[in-house]
Amino acid sequence: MATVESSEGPTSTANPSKVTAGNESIDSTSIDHWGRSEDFRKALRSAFDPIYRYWFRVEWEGLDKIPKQGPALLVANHSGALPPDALSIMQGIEQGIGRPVYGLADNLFRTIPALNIAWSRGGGVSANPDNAYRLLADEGQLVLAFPEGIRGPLKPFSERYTLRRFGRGGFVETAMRAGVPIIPIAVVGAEESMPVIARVPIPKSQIGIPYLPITLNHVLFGPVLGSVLWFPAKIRIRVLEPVVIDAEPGEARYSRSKVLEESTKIEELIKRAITDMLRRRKNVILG
Amino acid sequence: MTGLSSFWGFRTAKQLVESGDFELVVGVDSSPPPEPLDGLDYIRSDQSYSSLARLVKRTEVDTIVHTFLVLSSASISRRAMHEINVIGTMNLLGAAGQSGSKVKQIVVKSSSLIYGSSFRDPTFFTETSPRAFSPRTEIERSLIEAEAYIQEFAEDKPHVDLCVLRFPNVIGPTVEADLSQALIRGVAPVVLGFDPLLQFVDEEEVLSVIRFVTGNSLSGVYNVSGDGRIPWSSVYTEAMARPLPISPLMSEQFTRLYQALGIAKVPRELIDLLRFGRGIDNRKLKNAGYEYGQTTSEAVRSFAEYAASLRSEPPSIEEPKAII
Repeated sequence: MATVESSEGPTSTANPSKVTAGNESIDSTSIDHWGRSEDFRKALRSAFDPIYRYWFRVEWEGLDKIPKQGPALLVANHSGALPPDALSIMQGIEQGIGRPVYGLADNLFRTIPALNIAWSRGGGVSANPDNAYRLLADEGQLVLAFPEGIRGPLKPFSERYTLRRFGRGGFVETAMRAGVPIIPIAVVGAEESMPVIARVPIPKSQIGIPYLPITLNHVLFGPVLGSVLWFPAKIRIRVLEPVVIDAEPGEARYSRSKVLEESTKIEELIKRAITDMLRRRKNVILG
Repeated sequence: MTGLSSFWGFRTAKQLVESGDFELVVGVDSSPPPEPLDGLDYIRSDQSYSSLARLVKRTEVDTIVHTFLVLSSASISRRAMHEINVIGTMNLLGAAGQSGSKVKQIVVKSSSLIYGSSFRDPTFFTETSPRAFSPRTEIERSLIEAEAYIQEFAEDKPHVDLCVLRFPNVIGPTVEADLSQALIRGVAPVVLGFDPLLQFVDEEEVLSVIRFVTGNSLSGVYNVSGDGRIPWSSVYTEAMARPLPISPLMSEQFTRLYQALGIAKVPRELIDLLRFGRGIDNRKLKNAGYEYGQTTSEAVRSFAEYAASLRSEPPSIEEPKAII
């Protein structure tokens, strides 16, 4: 599907030295209509780089399977109370391939003062099917989704590397409708970066989180530092073969059973990759 | 033309008269237009257009341009708003749909306010996107009710081209829109910790869109907005306006306090917008053939320059028009 929007192509890393008309100081030139700012991403990447390189020592397998151009829906497992996987995947692709990645996330982020701005400028987009469709079908972008949602990071450490339900397969339906490949990604190491050892239920939670996670990091480093200081677990990211679903794009509705079948298939692919990666792993810290 | 003496009514009427495409332009309102215009007939009516039926019959008008929906609760009572938006629209449609009516097209200037603004919204509303939550403000409720009448009418009278235009925030030197006026005054309400992405159109673009659809037998609902969205912080920085902080908690109490102290008037429907912003998908109108004159940031840039220039001049001796 061709790009429909003509005059406002999404700002991309391809033209960082975008020539602006006149010499206006307006900083919006770097902020696209999703709220993502390449300048902010650049700053975020350089801040996260030492953590990415020396703390987590992130290692990729099959990064070349991410397309250099054209849309794709990246689907990964999600873990760690403060999950480092999203940042790491975005970092790796943006540095390695030079393409922006839009991360779909729970819209509860949008309600938190200050954080909502950083989230949006950092490439976060509300996980809304219309948003995903437009990014993929109309704008040809890379979109990263965690179908487990918030349940992934909140699961207790005893259940590490067991995947939570992949939603209701909405991500598959969007990929089918947009006619784009799904690229499954398996992440190992994020679970151990901030293990959830207890969960305090929040009664009548208004903020979208049913539990307050208590982590091992909290126990060792205290409530403040422990909320942000990860353990230096080795993170490995494996990109699997793109899955092209055989379906006519643009339909209003897809068969529920087909959607669930494809969703389960992708879940299985990721599970199998995780099992394999865990088997090869000798040490949580060293990898 | 409805609301002839209002800002939009008069500007639109003037444009239509000057275009020369219309044999006769009749404007109705409760007060006469600011200046007489050749080729424009003024007919007095009450705010809810109860006398419109006779007028439609007598003048045999074929096009109605309804620009008088109230889109801000800043300086109008609930009752008056309801009377104008809901009852006014109802009477207008009643008049247009009566037997013997020659009306072929109705153009309504509505607002993207109808989508609301919440954290659950899609980044871009299409014309068919539902709201995330039911409306909490009177103005949104009245717009929804008015558009529901319009929808009903469109179903009942398929031979009439009913065109609803949903505009985002309008800016310009003369328009009486909340954010535009705030920027001109140099005081920009800001909900702390939020920097929403907004869309803007220039007042001239509004007229040009109305001109485009009028007589063009376009029907249906159309979102209108230049390409792109712009963070509110860029807008008021560029316009050199001072941010007026609103606490993210108890925002409404804050704005009421500002209003009581005479510092600023921030209507309720703006608070959520200043938190979550709003985006509307403008592609339907583009596909219908309209070419936007400006993107959102171009519109903002030229307006901001104007607004900033107003305040870089030496302070005038003349008393401020109103306290915000």
